[in-house]
Amino acid sequence: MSVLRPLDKLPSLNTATILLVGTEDALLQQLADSMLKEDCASELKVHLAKSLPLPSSVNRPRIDLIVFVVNLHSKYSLQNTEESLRHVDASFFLGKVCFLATGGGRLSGHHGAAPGARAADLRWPRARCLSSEPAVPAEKL
Amino acid sequence: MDETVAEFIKRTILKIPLNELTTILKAWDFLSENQLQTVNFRQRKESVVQHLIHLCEEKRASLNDAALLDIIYTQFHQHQKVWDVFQMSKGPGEDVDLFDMKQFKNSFKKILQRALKNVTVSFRETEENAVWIRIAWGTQYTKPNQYKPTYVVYYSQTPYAFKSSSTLRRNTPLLGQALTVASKHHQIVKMDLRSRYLDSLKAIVFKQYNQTFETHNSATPLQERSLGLDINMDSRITHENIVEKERVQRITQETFGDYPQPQLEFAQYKLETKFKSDLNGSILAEREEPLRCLIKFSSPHLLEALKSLAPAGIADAPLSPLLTCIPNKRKNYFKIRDK
Repeated sequence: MSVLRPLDKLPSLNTATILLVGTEDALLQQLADSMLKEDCASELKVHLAKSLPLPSSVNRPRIDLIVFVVNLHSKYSLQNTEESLRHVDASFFLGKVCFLATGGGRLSGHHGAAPGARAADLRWPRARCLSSEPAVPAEKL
Repeated sequence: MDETVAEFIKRTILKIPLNELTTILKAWDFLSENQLQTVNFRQRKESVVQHLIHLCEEKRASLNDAALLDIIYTQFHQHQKVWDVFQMSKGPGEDVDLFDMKQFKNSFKKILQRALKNVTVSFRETEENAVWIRIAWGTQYTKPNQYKPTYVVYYSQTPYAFKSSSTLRRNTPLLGQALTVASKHHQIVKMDLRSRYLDSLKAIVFKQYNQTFETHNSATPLQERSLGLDINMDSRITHENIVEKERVQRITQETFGDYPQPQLEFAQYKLETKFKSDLNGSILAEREEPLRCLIKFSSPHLLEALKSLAPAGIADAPLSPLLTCIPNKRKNYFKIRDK
């Protein structure tokens, strides 16, 4: 089973690579575009993937940060993230994984919290091995 | 001019938004150019309407003229009605007669008048061999209600007619009979297709929706355009799943084509199937009778929404054939039973 490990490749010179994982491609694209507009100390590269494991490729640079994008309205999105988490080595969670929840704004005509996945569910199964708190708190887009 | 006719024309004109008024009045072609020029359309609407009614009185507008104005208003505001589709068929061995519009109109009117005595029937022919029919219903003892008419659009070179759905459903069999007999058919059947968008219904029924038109984009290579990929000029972004993305785009294009989808607002599935479950010992799974359940998909543009589901990552491709067969099967009402 192919697993992403944080230190299995040599780092490229002055380059940082972020991997965005999520089911909604258009959203990932938007996020990548905005990230690249920001100033960055190193040269920034962004990879977009629907899920893990990634298709095998020797040319891929070392991944420095994984961002899992979860849509709070989509069970499919949560399931996809849960399954992808199995392909991430535990050591990645020491500061190199981030969860981004989308759809947190109010639904038109719906009162109360958005239905669907709860961010706390994402602590299962991997991150739980490390500590009771998620490595990085979930942020709302 | 009759009081009721005056009131009817007044109410119809009041419905027309000011910016459409001149166009519709010109299409009506009842008031002359000279008369229309005397009207100041920049006044308050009530004053404009009063002036127009006065002109109609001068020209002695009849009930038929008023009905014609109502037809034109409806033609401009088709989406305010919900349209059903009917298909007629000839009996076995019946010859295809040459269609005679005059004979059709006379026959249609006669059948309704014989049955109901009080009914207002008006016709307006349009291009594409279509005739718009307006029917205001009365009974043996009451005058026709001009404010709840039924509209039928019949394409004379085809066995299809579109009918506005109305609350007075008891007249539907009679209407069907009149249409069938007058057009020299044998039988009429209601299709499981319904929408506010008459043009889209036409496109689906006559199978005219799958035409790709040459646009000014045809300079871009077909490959790039039809894949719909944002060929990202930024080399700093890499798509890991490009193969899968291309597969989804290809399947979507094969299923829905390159052309704009006809516009429908909903699809409805009536299920009468036995409950199926992975969990053992579920109470519902033991039930012998089928569960009855209604699923309705609504959208301002349902087919375009379905088309964008897989590329947006919300659903897997290919989509269920129950969803993708809608234009092909000419249905948006389905009944699903266990085989």
